[in-house]
Amino acid sequence: MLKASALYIVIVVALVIAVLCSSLIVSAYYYRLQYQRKFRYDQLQSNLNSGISILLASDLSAYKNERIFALYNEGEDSVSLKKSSWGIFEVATSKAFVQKDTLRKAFMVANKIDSNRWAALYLIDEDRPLSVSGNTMIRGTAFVPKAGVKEAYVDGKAYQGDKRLVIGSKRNSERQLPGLQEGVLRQIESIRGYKSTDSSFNHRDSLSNSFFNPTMVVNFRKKATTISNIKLSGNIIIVSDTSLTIDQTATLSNVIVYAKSITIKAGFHGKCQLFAQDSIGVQRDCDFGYPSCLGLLRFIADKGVQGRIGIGENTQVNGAVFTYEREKSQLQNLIDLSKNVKISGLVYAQGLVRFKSGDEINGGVFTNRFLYQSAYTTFENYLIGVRIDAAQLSPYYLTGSLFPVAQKKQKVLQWLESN
Amino acid sequence: MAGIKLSVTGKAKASSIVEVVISMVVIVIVFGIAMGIFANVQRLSLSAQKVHAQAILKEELIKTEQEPHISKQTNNVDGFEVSSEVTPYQDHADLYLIALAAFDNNGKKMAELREVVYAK
Repeated sequence: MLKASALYIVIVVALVIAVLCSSLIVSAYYYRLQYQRKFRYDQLQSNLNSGISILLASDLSAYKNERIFALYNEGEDSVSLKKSSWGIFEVATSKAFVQKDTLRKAFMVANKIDSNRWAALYLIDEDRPLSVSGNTMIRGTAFVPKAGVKEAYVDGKAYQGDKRLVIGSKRNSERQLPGLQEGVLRQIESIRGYKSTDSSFNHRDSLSNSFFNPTMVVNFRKKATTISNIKLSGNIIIVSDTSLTIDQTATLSNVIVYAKSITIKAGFHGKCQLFAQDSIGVQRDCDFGYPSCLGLLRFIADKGVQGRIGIGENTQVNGAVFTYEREKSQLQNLIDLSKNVKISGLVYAQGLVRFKSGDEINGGVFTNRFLYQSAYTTFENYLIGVRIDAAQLSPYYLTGSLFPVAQKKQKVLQWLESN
Repeated sequence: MAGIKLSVTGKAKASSIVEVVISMVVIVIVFGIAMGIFANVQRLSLSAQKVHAQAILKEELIKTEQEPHISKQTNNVDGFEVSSEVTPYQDHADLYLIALAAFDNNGKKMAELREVVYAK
């Protein structure tokens, strides 16, 4: 006998419909939740970008202390912005938050280059010409003394380069280099006085500090130290009142080193800013990634010792190399390049630059005087077998506001951290 | 009972009238609730139009931020009326506030977007 059982079948059908309905509700709920999350994320992203724009358009002083405010004076548009100096560059942090959700980004800021003030070569006018010999090439705008550029015969070699001598426009240089920005110099000078958070690395093999945290300052004081077998990255400043050696086994990423004298061992690879009072000695085959900076700063004149940045053979520097002295001394600072050194960026010497043949500058050189040392003689203002090519500089190259070639407009140099 | 062959002598037990009425009431209630839920979910869930409007505004923002200049205009984009207003942000020379909104044919706001941009 067959049972009709209409109620039984209806209950089964009702259960099936109930299951379908509840799954529909659950899926709609999650879809809505996800969409709201994405909507909030988009809104936060938009606020974060607004914060980044505000930071790029503002001076360092306006956001030196972290500022929290509403972008449009409404709810759900709060941002927290901060900008601080980081060597020759600046580091900015932007945070956008709604309730518990936060998006944040840390980035390095630098200035666009001013094409009117940028030059492949700027040699101050000391009433004598610039002489070129061998396979020398100067491409780009050149600010040279009124006495001009001349071909010369040195070490049995005549000039073999382009007949124009300077491939680009020639302008008269002044008797002094365009100055560095004092405010940035003072910022760099103040690094020495930063309150130290540590006096050693405590046998760690890696140390990283976020740019959202307070700066970690490791001060070795008067103890000569070698940094080796360690990976340092982020918001870290290493300070020493005496000599500091950085071994090739150390990896530095975005950190600042400030010491009396710094030695970089052969084969080092890293991306850092090095500032020294007396000397920086970079041994051969080193590679400084962009953005790096080697700076010699003599705030107090030391008449007995010549400040010197020595760069070893086959070394590459991407960024800037500069020397500065507050009071002009008789023994001017020297940037001494060995053979086949390649610098992409700016060389700014308030002093002397000594080239060796095979050196390559993809960017510009600003200097008081050139030196060339042959076996027997030292030649002044001679360029022999050197290639200075402004056209080879990357169109994305940005410089620090320290240099006179910097525009006021700022751009993001590199993204450091984000979530 | 279509498809089931009954013998001449066979019997099929019928449901009582009460059982059938209760079944009908239950099925009507269950269907009613189900339709209500379905309608609610459909009404409250995001329409494809809103997503489309959001995407249009993002595209407009990218275009406007390339070369921002003070302006106020309304365009018709893909069936939406997109209003765009560029104003200086806090009197800063290089900062602009771009405010975009998309409306449907009935004038209902489907999406809006605001961002401060830096003139490159």
